[in-house]
Amino acid sequence: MPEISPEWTAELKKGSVQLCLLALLAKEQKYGFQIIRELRDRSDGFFDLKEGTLYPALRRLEERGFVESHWVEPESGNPRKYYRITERGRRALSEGRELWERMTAGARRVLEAAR
Amino acid sequence: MTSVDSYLDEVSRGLMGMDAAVRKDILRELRSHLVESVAANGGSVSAAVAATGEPRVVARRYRDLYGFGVTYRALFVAIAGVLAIFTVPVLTATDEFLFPLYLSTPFLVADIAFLIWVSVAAGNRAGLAAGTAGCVGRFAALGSAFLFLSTGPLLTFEGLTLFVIVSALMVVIGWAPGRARRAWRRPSADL
Repeated sequence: MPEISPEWTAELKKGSVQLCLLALLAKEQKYGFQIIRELRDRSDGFFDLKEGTLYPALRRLEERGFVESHWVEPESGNPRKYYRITERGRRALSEGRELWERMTAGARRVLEAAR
Repeated sequence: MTSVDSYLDEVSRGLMGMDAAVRKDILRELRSHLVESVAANGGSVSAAVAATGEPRVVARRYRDLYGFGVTYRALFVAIAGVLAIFTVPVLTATDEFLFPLYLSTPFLVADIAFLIWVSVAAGNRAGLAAGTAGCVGRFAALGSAFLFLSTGPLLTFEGLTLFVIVSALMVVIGWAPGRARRAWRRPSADL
């Protein structure tokens, strides 16, 4: 889809990616490539971002204390860095989820009324 | 055709000055990612690299997050302070001089340009520290004129006023550009 302005869509998407990343980590720890694939698949390709930019986003969550990470190095094969949600991250996720529900419901009512 | 190594080299260049341990960890994670990606797409390094994104863009995201490491920030502050010593033409006194006026002006221009760069690239806090170091450096230069010139510095009211104003400006110039950049920055293109 051609964009009117990349800044405009970036602003709208901003924040939702972080929340989705956190949600993907709610049940189990995952490594970067796995998170990227799940984000793309489950969003039906909506979050089809440059993969290299997802890693700084994950680390931003880590800087906020919402996730923590550790390396897993198998005897043979590729070492992987796993991310795991923290207690603080769980609270941030449930707060974010509630905010998201209210925001989308509110926005939908406004958008529908103006159609 | 791009190899994983040359891609990582390019990212690494974009991470220059970042804390060494963080930088190493970032590159290790990106290498791990590229290995996974190549394995998943049937062995194409160029496709994996393309999906990962421009190395400069990727590096900039990390830079936005981590900025410069402590070592580099300390280095910037030191450079700004040392440069500032040579920005004080007050050091010329009659026929004695420690540092002449015609040389101090380019140093002043260079130090101000450097402070603006530090403020924008390393953030307004590093810029503020560098600007303060610049201010201190100028007072140190004036002080050394009292110490090393037998007649002391040649002080005029205008000269001293200008000295104080420019010294104070250094602090502001170190702080303001970085603060302005933070306030006006557009959201990054895809997150």
